[in-house]
Amino acid sequence: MKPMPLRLTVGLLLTVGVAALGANDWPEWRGPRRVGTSAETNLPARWSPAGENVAWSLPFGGRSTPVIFGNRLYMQTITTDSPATTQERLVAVDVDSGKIIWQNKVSVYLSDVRADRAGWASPAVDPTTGTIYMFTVGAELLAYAPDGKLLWDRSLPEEYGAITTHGGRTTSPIIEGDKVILNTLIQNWGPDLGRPGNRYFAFDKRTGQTIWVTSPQARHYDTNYSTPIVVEIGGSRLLIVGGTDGVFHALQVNTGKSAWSMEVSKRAILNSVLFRDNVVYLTHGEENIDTTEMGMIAALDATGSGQLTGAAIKWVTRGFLPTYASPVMDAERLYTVDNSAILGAFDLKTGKELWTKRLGISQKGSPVLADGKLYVGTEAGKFYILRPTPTGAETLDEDLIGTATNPEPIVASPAISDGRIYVTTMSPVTTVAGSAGHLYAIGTRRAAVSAGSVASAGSKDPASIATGGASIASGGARGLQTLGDVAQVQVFPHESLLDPGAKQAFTLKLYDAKGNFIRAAPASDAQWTLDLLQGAIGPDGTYAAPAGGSAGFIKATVGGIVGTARVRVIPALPWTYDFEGMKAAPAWWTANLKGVPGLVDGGGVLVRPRDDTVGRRTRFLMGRPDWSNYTVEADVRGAEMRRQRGDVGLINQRYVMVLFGNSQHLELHPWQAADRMTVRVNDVKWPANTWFRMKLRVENRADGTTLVQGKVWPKDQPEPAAWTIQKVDTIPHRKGSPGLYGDGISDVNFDNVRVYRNQ
Amino acid sequence: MRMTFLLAAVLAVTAQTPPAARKGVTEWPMWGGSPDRNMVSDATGLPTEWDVKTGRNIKWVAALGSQSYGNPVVAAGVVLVGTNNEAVRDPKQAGDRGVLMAFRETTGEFMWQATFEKLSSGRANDWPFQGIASSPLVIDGIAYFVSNRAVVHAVDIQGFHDNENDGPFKEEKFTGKGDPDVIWTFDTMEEVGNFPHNLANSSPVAFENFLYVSTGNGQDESHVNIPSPKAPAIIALDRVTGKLLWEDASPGDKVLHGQWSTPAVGTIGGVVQTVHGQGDGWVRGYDARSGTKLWEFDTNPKDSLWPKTRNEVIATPVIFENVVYIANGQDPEHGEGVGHLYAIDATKRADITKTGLIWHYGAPTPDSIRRSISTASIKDGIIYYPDFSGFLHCLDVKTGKKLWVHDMFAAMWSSTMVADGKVYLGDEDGDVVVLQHGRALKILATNEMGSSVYSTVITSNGAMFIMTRNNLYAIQQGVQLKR
Repeated sequence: MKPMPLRLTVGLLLTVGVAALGANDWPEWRGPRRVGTSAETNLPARWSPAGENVAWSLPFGGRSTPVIFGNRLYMQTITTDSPATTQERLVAVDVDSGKIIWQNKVSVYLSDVRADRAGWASPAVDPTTGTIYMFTVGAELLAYAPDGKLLWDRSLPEEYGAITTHGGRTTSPIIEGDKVILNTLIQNWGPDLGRPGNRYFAFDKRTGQTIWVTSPQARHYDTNYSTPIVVEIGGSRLLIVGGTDGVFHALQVNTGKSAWSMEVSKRAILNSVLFRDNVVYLTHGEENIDTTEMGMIAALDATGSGQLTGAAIKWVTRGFLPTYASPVMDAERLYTVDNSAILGAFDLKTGKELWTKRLGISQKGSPVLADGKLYVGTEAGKFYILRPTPTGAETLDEDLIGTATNPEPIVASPAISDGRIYVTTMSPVTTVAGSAGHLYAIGTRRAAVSAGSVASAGSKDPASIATGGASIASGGARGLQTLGDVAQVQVFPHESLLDPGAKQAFTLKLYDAKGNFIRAAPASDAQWTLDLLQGAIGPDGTYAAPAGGSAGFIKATVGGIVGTARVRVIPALPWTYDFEGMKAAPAWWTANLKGVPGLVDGGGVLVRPRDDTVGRRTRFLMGRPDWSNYTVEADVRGAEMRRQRGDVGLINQRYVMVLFGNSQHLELHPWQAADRMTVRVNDVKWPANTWFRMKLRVENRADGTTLVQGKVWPKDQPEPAAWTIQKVDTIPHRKGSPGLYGDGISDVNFDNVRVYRNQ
Repeated sequence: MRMTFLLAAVLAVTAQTPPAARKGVTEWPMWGGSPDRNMVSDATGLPTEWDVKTGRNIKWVAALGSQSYGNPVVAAGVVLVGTNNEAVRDPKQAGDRGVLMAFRETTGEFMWQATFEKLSSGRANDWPFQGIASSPLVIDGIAYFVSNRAVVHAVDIQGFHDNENDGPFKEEKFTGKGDPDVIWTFDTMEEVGNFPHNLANSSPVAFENFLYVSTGNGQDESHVNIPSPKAPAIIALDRVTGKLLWEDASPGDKVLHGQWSTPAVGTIGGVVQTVHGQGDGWVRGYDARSGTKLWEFDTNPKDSLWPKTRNEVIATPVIFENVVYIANGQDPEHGEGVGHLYAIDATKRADITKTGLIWHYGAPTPDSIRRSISTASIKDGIIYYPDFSGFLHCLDVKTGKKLWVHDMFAAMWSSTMVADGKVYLGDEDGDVVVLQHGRALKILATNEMGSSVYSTVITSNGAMFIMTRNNLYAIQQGVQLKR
């Protein structure tokens, strides 16, 4: 079918401010076709940060590429007023005037990613509604209407046990049909998702409920940010993405089911792939699995299934190391930049290295290709406009942003829209305060091209958002598609977080073996059963939660095929856990598998056992992310090993109060990595192997601030009247789950946990 | 055959004599060739040009893993080099490991290897595929190095090729010809509680029976927490028994990131000192015998701020005529930035940041040194110092005045080697540039190695040894590699 003209749709839906004019959006990190290219022509060949050909600029930049939709530019970055109040923010800018129309600030929580790494991902805009999706460095997913109104948010740390670490690496979401798709490292509850690992998520873009969560990876090396492309191969619509397991994965976009996988490296893949004529062009800059030469640029026959082998590789070139930059290609050549900022051109038919050109010393950002020009910025603050040829690259323009010794590094790839190039820089290398980088809008914005040309430009390419979005939005069954038999049953929502006694209706969708949507089935078509889950499910697919806590699975069987949904029921407050006789940590806690009931002095306690692994830091999140105004108390106890004391703490409404063992002090964290937000009380003695009691109370106040108060005292002594530590937070967390925190290599113990509404 | 036998006999004699006054002529037994770590050699007759493709002036090449950071050393006819396990030599010891490989100096024949599984704590302590980055110290046929598991090892440089299992440690799991003969071990994480950030990489240095090792103690993977602030930055072990003699934990919880500088030893103002660059950006000098801290020097301006303008110290200090020369910098992952190079009068005591400053070269002076992780070469009144931004700085060693700067156009992790009237320097692009040693810039040759050169050129017995990311080359004037 002919896709609906996108801008027209937007024009109808958007009410304020957004004109439905232009025809060349850049709605996601890698552009309209997710391959770092634009079909636009007559793009700028010259500019200068001093002003030549600069329409406007903003005095702040960041790490991520802005997205452009209609006459709005959306930029994900951090606030710059004070380190004591740094937040991640989404800024909406009028592309004609360069004026900020609105901005939404989000406080980061339960994350050890530093502020200078925040704002890592690019936002994504849904082409059919204009809704903007933002995935923060703290793994919170938020959906905003074009006027800036928050539509919904999902707290992945609290709802799915997301773990943020490794310097902020965050994937940029994509919008595909009715889904927002991303991946992140989680340690959730249950036998399937309770093990730490990188999981792929598809959320319903309208509500934020999960459609599917999938675990195609057998291992996890490092967090990554390979953003997927979506293509059609052999009658199946597939998402192709580099995993944190050194494997490229093709997943059915509708179901998350693995179509094929190709192992190429022993480290996480950071690069996105390219696709043309059933061939995937893949790159990485790390260890290969079969040679001591690092790095790979390869062409892969993508029509196979299951675990692909070397036989599917059409050609491979090694020794060029693009660990960070993702490639682009034209009709003849693939271009990418290695870690030493050397641009390389490779023959698409043979993989042969045709030429290289040095751009700098080190490189993180990806190039963008349009109008026969390569646009690329470097860590040394250089921005190049190059014209690639069969034998080399002609430098059309070369600019330095900042000075040679204090440049503004460029790690974001540029964005292209309506005749303009948008270049984002970071705060200068050695300027400590007072500059936050820049966003430059380069070139003259062009009058609208007809909407039809967008559709046709998109429909030429199977990776087009236009085609995919419109066809799926229109209800699924695509005209030319031959559907197979029902092979997959999808139960929606895939994961639910319920109150005791609540009811949840589940719906069914049926797919064939290739992941093509067949039809929505009435719930009564399925046999419904519960697994590990208390409560009751009726033949109409409506589940009634029990009076207390529970976690487990709902299974729907249609024609012998089973679909599964995950459900947590969180018991109502107040809670008391004394761990006497308990055999396992409550199943509805995130990271529940890391909590082991044990005995100390004959009494039951909860143990976070000795842990020498990278996953030592543990957060048990026990409740709902939307709770507020409650108090958490617990007995805590730490040990010493190898001169090291572990740390122990309580979590309340996204605030963490931690007793640090080595330095014997107490901290209160709105955001652990943001030193200037932390409240610290020194000389809080808590010897090893001795029980202390901690209490953390959070209160949302009418003036919009939040009052956080904590105290610590020896368990065998009466509770002191005074609070030990306190913070009035002006960029507050207004809601969040209660939880327990433990870190360090040695055992950490908890006992007599109480959570109750503030008194 | 006869030739080989003769050479071996000569080498055996050499190994028993005290360290040669002429450095780099018959051996290169430690990082920097001598405890002062000055990157100069007395070798002569070294080639200016060679070709790894045609084999011209290439004596042999040995395959290493996919990443190699343990700079080669040569002693008693054996070349030792740290690498990873991607070129698996023993299928029984597969998977990602740290590997120390031993090759015969004359032929490049593989002799033995010590392999170490990765720590279960993963990248926080033992980053994937970084192998062993410690450059061993060899004394009297015993090699001392630090494994990727932060265990200090004393091993027989001949392995089991001497048909003996030297002890006290005799519980080796593998005792074949290709396996290491361990004499003793000291597990720093168990014994002194250090938490090495990313990798323990110290290249040991010794004085009398004291063996000095940096612990690498630093942050955990969150980069906001020092899990073991009571653990020392530097320890001294008895190199005969492997027992702890002294330790110092001055950086405490002030470590900015990791600690990858490695100590130097020299006599300064009549006192034998152990000098160490530490993770809080300070350089400290210790009485080599007692471990008493004699002085400390802050390499960062007081108003600097980590990670933008405040640096860690990764370079190795060089001790030359009572002066300590060292630059600061950052983890290569952090990219380029401002840097500082100092000449420090280490005869002073206590906080000598002001009193011990002889000269400073670096920010905010334009076109001066940038972040550096390289180590100095000092000869004939000249100091050579590369930086991570690709510039080689040539200064007057007495005044710190710039003589010339050469742009390599590629990141440098390695250090210069001054030998045979020339300056050799490798870069990330895989080029080894040869310059004329002297107060005027003159480029003699550029040799392409085919893979990144993170190592520093060393010399022994008329040959140079250059480690690329995945190969070790022995390079000698007038030879031709037969393939």
